[in-house]
Amino acid sequence: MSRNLNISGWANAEHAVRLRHTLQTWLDDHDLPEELRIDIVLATNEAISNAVEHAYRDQPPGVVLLTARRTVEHVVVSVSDQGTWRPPPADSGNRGRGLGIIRAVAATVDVDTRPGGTTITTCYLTG
Amino acid sequence: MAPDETPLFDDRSSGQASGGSAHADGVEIEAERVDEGVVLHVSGDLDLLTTSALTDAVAQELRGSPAALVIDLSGVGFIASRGLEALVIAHQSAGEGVVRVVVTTRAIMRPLSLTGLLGVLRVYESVPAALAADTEPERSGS
Repeated sequence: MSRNLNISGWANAEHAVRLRHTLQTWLDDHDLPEELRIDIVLATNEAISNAVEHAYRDQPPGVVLLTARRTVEHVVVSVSDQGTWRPPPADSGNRGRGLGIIRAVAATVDVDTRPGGTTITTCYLTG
Repeated sequence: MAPDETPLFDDRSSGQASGGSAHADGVEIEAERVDEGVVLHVSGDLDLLTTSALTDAVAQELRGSPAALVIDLSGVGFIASRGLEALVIAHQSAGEGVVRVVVTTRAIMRPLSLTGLLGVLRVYESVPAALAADTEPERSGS
């Protein structure tokens, strides 16, 4: 069993891609069904994109931290930033779609918004 | 922080949005002219970094008012909500039935299904099927 994933990048589109690829590699190293790996990458990418596009909108670019761990029954993935959470507007076409993907595929979703940053933690059942 | 934390990527300068890094070519789009219209063969990933290339290619082809514009996603390994949005915009900005999307993999079918876009976009299981279709809606795999 490979170790927990714990990696960070700058909140920009290029590092978002690298974080996603790193997660993909980590997931491929675990004995997980393809369907689950697809779902986890889809949802995590949306959480990372949310941080890249919104967290540091009126401030200097900051970091995005990605962690993932595997337990016997779960995969838990969290995406954190040190910026400001902005609730999606009511007619948020694309951003609403991104958050919708996260809520559709994860067994549980926790959005922890604090003055010092936001953490979106998603949990997936492996069984 | 956890004891096994990996350090930050240390190449911050290459990560600026304006930089022309190698990552910017994470997608390739090839336009093929056929009797029925145009096929855009897309390969790579459609995400924050690359989707604008598809948006630009679609806009360019639609200026020629093709009878059919097929967006072939057979070679795409990953599509983010930004990419889905580009497909919706393409669909909405063309005439009825003009934009047709070819999906052959679970990695692309899954997000289309999750977001309800299978009921919005014209999705086909192959390029020939997409080109042969008239303007009636059809679903891949049916």
